[in-house]
Amino acid sequence: MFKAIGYKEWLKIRWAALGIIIAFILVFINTALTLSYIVRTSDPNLYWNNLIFRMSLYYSLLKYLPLLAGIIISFFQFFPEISENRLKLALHLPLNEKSIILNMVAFGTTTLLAIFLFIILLFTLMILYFFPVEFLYSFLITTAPWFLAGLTIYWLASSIFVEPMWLFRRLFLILISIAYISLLYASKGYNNFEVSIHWFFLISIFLSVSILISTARFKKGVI
Amino acid sequence: MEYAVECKNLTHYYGKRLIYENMSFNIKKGSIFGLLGKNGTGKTTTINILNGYLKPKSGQCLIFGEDSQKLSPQTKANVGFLMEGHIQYNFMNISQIEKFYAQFYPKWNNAPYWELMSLLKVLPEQKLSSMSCGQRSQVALGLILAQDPDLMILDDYSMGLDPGYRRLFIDYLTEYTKGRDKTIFITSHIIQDLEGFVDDIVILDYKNVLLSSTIDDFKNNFRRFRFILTNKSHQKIEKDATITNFEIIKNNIFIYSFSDINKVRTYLQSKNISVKDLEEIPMTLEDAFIGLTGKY
Repeated sequence: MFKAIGYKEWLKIRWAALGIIIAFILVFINTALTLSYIVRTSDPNLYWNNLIFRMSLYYSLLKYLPLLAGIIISFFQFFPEISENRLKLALHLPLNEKSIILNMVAFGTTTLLAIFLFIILLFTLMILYFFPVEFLYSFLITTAPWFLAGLTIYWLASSIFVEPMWLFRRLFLILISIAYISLLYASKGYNNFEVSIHWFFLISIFLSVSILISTARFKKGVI
Repeated sequence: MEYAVECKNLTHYYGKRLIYENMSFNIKKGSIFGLLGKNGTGKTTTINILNGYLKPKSGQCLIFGEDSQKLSPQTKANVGFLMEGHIQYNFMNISQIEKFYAQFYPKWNNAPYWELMSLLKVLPEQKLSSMSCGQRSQVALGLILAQDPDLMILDDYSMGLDPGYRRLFIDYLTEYTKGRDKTIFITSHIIQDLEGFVDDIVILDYKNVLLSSTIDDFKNNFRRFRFILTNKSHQKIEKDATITNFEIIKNNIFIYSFSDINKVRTYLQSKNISVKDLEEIPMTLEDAFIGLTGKY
């Protein structure tokens, strides 16, 4: 039965997921070509200076893409569910209601993780090609909050979509989301989240099940 | 008596607006039950409570003995649900949606579904979003029939359907429930379609239940009389135990009552209302419904 839920979710998000993958690949190609050009044509010391002291991120194009991906997947997955109260159909399926919702979220999360891991792998190969291995660690630590922001906004946006009470609760959740995501984007340099990322990770994991509260309120018919 | 559905003392408010108070009804296993009422009287509210999508302010509904707010997966598998407007997953095509639902229901039998689809002359790849309202209603019905539940909850099945699709819907329901101990809970605006289909009815008015009866008792005992007033005594006509409702159109007075013509005549005489040509006018179920609930 959970395979069937996965099938339904896949039908909703497959084209969105493909679009996101294409966008990530385009960003990767652009970054790789730019890097290749700079490495071949400019003074390595000057470039190093530019990267470290002026905190110019050579993969800055990647910055908001995970966030956008999280919002898009959440929209394509949950907008059809809340339009015309279609979520009632899912909740009527002969399964535990929490399991149904968590499976839907797990499917979206897995899709995003797969896309993120794919793009991280591409960037890893590119970095190892151009730079020493230390650059890879820096890349992973620096981009971790961006990818975490992508997953977190997916969980929060899904919760916002399902929440039945527009004026107060949805607005409240939107403000909480903006505040939290802003924290994940607060850094402008390299490795700034080195000592704190695990705390953000824990908070995000906690937020990942916020949709259960919205679903319980949807089911009670709160207006 | 075994009941598929028992609702006890349901009271619900939206904000401060009372929908109904202390409403109770039972649905016998194997019967067809119609919940009737004008728009805004709480039909969909009742269906939402029954399906556990809405928590009533007080009271409780039981489905096959289980609290409707906490239905087990086994009971849910035995309840077919048609959402108002025949809402389904319109991002799927008719083949995908059948494949999806088939995974959930142990008694799944896709024969009636594909039989209905063949009547529509649509391809298996046809997306629900590109189908007409009537076609989507048949998809929703086909899915419920394939599920083969013991209880079907059908919220305003007639919404947006032309007479042909409405007839097809009722004909298929009749055929598939015949002699199979299936229970149907149905709401509709099109009262005449339910004539000859439902066994028991509850008619809702704003804030309360107007009538709870078998359809035969209602049709046999609820009457309409017409007479002509010979003076201005119509001001003495008011709703009470004898006169359930009345209409005044120029000099013609229409009275709706559960009493027979002799009792009505005696009653009018006792009120000193002078009448001419008092006669009973036959009614359809829809006439009776309007007579009971009023036109506005």
